[in-house]
Amino acid sequence: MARVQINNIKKSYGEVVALQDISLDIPSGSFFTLLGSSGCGKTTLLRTIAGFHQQDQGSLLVDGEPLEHVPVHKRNIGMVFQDYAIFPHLSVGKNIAFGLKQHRVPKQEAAERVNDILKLVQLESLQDRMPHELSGGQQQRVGLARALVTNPKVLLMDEPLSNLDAQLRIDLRRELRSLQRTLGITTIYVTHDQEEALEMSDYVCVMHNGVIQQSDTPWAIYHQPANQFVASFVGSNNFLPLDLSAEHVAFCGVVTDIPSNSLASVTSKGAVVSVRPERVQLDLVDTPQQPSTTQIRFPATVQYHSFAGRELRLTVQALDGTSLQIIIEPKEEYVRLSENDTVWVVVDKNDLSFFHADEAGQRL
Amino acid sequence: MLTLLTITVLLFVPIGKVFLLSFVDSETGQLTLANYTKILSHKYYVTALKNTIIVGVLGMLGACLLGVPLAYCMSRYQLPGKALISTLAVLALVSPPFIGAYAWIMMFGANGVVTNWFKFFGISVPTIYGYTGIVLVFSLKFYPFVYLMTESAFSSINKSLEEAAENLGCTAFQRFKQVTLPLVFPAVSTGAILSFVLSIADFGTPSIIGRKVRTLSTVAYSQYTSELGGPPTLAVTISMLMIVISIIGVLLQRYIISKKRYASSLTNLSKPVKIRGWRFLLVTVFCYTVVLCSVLPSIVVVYTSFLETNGPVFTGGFGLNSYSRVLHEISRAVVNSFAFAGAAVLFITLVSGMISYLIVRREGRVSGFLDTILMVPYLVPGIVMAIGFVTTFNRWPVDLVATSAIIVMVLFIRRLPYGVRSTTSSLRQVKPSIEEAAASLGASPFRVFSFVTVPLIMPGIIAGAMMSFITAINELSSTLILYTGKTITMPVHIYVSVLDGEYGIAAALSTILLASTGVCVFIVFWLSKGRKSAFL
Repeated sequence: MARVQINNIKKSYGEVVALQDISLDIPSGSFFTLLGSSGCGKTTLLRTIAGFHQQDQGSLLVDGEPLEHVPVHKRNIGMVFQDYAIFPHLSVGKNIAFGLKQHRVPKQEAAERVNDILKLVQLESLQDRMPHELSGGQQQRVGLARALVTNPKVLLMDEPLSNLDAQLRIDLRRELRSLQRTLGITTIYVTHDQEEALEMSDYVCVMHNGVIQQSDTPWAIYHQPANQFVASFVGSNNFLPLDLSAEHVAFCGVVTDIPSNSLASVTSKGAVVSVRPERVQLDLVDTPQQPSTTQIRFPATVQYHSFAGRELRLTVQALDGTSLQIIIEPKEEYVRLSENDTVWVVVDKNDLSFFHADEAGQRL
Repeated sequence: MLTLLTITVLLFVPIGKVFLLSFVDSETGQLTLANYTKILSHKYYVTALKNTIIVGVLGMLGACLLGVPLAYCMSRYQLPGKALISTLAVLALVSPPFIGAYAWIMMFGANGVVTNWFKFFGISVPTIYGYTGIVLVFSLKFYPFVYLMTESAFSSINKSLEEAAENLGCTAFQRFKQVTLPLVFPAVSTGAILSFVLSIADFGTPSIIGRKVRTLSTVAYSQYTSELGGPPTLAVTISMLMIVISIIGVLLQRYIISKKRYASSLTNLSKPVKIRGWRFLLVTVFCYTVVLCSVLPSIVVVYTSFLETNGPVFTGGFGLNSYSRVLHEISRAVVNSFAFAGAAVLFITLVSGMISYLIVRREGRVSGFLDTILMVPYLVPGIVMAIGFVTTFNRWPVDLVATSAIIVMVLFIRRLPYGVRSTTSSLRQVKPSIEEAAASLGASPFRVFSFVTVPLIMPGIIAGAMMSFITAINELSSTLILYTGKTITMPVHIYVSVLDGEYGIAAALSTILLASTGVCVFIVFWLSKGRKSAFL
């Protein structure tokens, strides 16, 4: 149980800036995920916390204690590696006992703690096996047990599931999460898999180009993305440019009752509107069943559609030429649609998000 | 840091000294090019230069002509006793070439067994002395380099490439010439250049079997012995020529293959196919002939070591006469050999652990520098290195002439690359995350290294130690320059005995060398789980 504070950490490799002024406050006992594509700096940040890299600037505190000058082996921070990093020359039991030996835990006690942790990760029967006799999933459990057995203050995980089969990955997500809840250990988790991040975490921190884009609860990350990058990286999104010179905002050529000047007053660089494909609805007939003032309705032609099992993906084109991605439940009448058929698109105004049209793309 | 300094001193000071001396007039002490003009205008030296290049090139071609077809057959066809064939090739690789040279003389020399047998029927056998013998010994000694390198290249060719060639209308021969051979060319050329460099550096073979054909190494040696007392100006000038030829050879090979790097996908590899009838017979006979011919000298040597002798004459009948003479008269050579090689290997093992760590874990300028300078011992012939050491450490404060230490130092620097290469390649297999895991579990850097890294690279360390031991204990060319009566080693004694016609003693000593080499080979095989590349 420990609170982790990261203050203004910077790290660069020659010309390349890996971390640009990173500040985070990770509450004690939380499951905190760093999410981003490769090269975004998430692993560098994790490895800096572990002590494998030294930051150029900034401070790192665990429970208020600064860690800058503490070498890796004295930090008492557990780490689970992407490639498991199981010692190939030691048995499962000895792998797990390795850390206890370094901390000079008496033999008797060490044996008990190894047994307890093996039970916790469901590997009781494999104590004497050698690593090469284990499956990938079992190796990762050994890695987890090895990191947990020394009761570290913080647990770091670097894409621990990315080398496993799809189904196992999903099972282990839940297992990891419930284990973390039971132990209440502050966990910092790195992944590029957004579904994993949303499903497991108390907090998700989206990173891009060494900069924190947004750090918040999974719900907020998904529903109130801080900028265009987060809106497009987490989930998928339709982005449409807006013409702010008209009196009201027009969406796909349909003039709405949203006044332009409220947007124009906060941005001088233009604005972009977004709507998630799964929030867009379809109607096959022109007459709305329940006319609503919060909805925008307009006709469009089907450009492309594909049935992907649990969902149906369509691209439609509005009369003004704008294309829109739609994801809907695959009802049979939708599946039977063909190209150039006319449909009615329904978008709820509450589902629209507005962003600055510049590079940073902050939410309006 | 101290290690780096030591290596640099041991490597570059002697070579620098050789370099400098070759430009100094031995009488006036002034800088001059006269030594070079003298050597390049004198027929005796020019002939030696020509001979060196001729036997180097022919030895290299011979090694390719044996090695490439053997590699092709071994990688593409199912043959009986493949493990035996490759083991024999490895044995041929690690046995010292001078043993080959004198064993061939015992068979085909003026008074050789085979020569006499044919003479009995009135048939005269072409002479083994001169070019024939040198090139024969070099080809049979160095083909395993080409074979081992090329076999893995043949095996890693994507089968689809050859199928595509056939599909596009190539005949089997065209396909081999236009697709397969170009793909393995980089590997062949690497093996070939190794054979070339080792051929021109070899001293024992031309000196034993060359007779009138003198090469630069034999000329440098006799020049060195005749210049004893004064500065060995001409000897070092010849040495420089040898280094230059090696460097030109290596640069040429690098230039040729620089535009020929092919990515291989390591998928869809071809499996050895079954063949029948005359093709099977031909391939099997070819493979076995090559490897058996290459280990024939060793067999002959071991056999003759158990024959009774009286001086140079084999009196017929079996006995341990030769061994008891070794034991009573020259046990010092045996003890010295093991002691020198052992000491050198001890240092090699300690230092290569550190150097490998620097090369693998500290990417950067230092590691690149280390990688490069470890090429140098390959390029500098033993004779040259030894002359460099003698001329460097010959006066106060470091007068090491005629000591055991100077021999151990030369062996150390010459065989260090074997240790480093083996340790480096096994250290590369250890993922950094394993060491990081240990550190994050609370192990200090020292404990990480001793309880995680070292146990994991131990097979590589031992294999490297064995390889350096094999090459150190079989070393002839440098020790011949450095030895005294007290520091004589087995290879030197074999050489001296062969020149004296004491074949019995030579055979017994050679057998001891071969036996200890064999033990090391077995250990390496066992540790590397049969990977033959450990021997390169």
